[in-house]
Amino acid sequence: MLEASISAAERLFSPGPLLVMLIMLPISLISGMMPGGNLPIAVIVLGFAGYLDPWITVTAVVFFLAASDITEPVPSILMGIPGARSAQATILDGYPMAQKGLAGVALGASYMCTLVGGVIGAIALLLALPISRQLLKMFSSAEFFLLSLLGLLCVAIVSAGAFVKGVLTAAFGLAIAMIGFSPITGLVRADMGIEYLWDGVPLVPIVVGLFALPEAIDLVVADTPIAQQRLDTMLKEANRDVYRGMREALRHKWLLIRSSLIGTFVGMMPGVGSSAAHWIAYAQARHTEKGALETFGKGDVRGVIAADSANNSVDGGVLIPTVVFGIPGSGGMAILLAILVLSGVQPGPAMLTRHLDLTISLVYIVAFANIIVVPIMLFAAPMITRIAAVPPNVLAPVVIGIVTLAAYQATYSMEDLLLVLGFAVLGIFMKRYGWPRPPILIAVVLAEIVEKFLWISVNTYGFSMFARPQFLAIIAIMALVMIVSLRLQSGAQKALYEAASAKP
Amino acid sequence: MRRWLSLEIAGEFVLLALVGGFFVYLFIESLYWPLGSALMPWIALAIGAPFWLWRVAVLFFQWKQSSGQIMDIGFRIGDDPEGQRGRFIRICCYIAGLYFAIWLVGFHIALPAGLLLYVRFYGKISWVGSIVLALFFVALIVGVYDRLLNSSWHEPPLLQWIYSFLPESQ
Repeated sequence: MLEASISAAERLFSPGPLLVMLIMLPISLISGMMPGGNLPIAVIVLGFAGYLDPWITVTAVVFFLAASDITEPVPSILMGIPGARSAQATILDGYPMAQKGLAGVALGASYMCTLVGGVIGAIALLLALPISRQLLKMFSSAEFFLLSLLGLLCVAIVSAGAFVKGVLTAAFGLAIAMIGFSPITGLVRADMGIEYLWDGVPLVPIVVGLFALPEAIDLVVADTPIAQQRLDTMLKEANRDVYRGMREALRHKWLLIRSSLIGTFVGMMPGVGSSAAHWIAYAQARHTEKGALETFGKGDVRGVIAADSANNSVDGGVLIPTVVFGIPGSGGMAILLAILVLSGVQPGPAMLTRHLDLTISLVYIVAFANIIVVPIMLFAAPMITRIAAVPPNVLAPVVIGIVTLAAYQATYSMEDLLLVLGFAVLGIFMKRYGWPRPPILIAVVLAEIVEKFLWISVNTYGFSMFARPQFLAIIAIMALVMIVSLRLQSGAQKALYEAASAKP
Repeated sequence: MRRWLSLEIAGEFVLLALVGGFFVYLFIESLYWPLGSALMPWIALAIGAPFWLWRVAVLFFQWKQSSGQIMDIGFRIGDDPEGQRGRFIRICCYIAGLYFAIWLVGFHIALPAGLLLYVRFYGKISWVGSIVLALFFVALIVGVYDRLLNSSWHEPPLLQWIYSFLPESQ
């Protein structure tokens, strides 16, 4: 473990990954503040996954996801517009503070929470690795098959908020993944007579069609213009009293630590992810902090502390099921998983043996992103906010152009673009009718691994695999995880409804 | 009758028809495959089919549906449905038109030109700003994809047709 830690530091802090972090830094800072700006950038990195070293692509996407999370609360506080869904709870108290002329205090508290929460999340990830290593030693192919399949179903059920739609989309994703050569027999399956599909449905066009294009369309359809006058007033106040805000966060240290731990724990639950963590932390603070029921939602700095510390500690937590068990907790993590697969790194047990240094590097990246971005934000937040206030009708066509280029790189054929259009129509329908899209992507990424483990298990154990104690233990644990995840999700939704109904 | 034609129900039936159709196709095909190839598709179908039937029944009999999503939210609906519908149609037409143009004249021309026209007329930025953005795309395609990644591009039919009139190609 120590050897891997040193090797990870040596490889990560070498010119290649450092240059990538330098390139991703401004992109992360700006896109974190843009509505819907996160996923398309991760898709672009995915487009390069087949060409570049996994150390480069993994560094790029993890650094990007961690750093962009840090800037997400800025538009929430300054303009009352969430940069992403994971900064929604920050608006409730951050924006009223800004309206009272306390934007700097809210931002300062947010930066401090970001720093502490991010580091706590990274430490949690580091501590989880040796425990996971011991756990995985007890598993065979039968347990890995079950873990992958149940993990996928768990993500689908929890993420959908609707049991039936979640499982249905996960099964549909598995069915799509069956197209092309069978990894067991080499037979071409369900190709519909189209030669292009012999190698299966390529990942990048799926991601572009299912996620990037519908999000770009949403950006234009929603078209949230930012009033220039209001922006100017808020930006003037953004750098005032920032250090007071940081001290405020430290003064409420127990709330900060408690919310960070909640964020880490929620992040570890498959399918719950960052969009729920901040609501759960906000709800617990609202019910446990003195006088919070009266002051939360009206500009209480403790609301900002609770939401933002959970929002950033979740990054470390969510990486644990993704890399160790191959069960991503969010759309961003599903893309990370896809990058690993396209780079030839199989998620799961190999991440704790052969690629342990790469796994440990994730800890460094998350911690490093938090440590370097916060000082930059202390000085440059107003300027970055101004850059990020790009009109949707300029941002969307740029995003569409870049992701189209990324999708075409899958096989260099026009069929890639037809596939993008097909999945875009599917994505629009799914988004419109509340069918969760991430389970399709996760199923396509995991299908080959699941199928290989299934076939090895059937050949090795036959039906006796169902009687293995480890097999039964995983069923019990996954059932428990699913119950906890569903409870956490309903808790987050309750907090969201409470906040919505309490709004003046 | 009107109830079945409403966007809420008809739209989801389209989704269900697509998913169900693919399930049936996969099942029929899998009957001719050896066990090694068919086992995983059967597991996927065994998981999906009951839930597909359940969802159809929920829609058909209009049972109360559970709501709320956290990981994936729907479109943000504001208080300007007419304007939103117009913007939706516009951006969808732009995407379809852009992809057709890419097929017809290739990435190097279609992407910068499409971007230039869109940001100029709908993004309302100046001609200079639009041209700078378009040039950024040219630089991206040539610099990163042509030079760095050595991408191969499809041959656009319109350009091929034009080239056929050039003296060198004859």
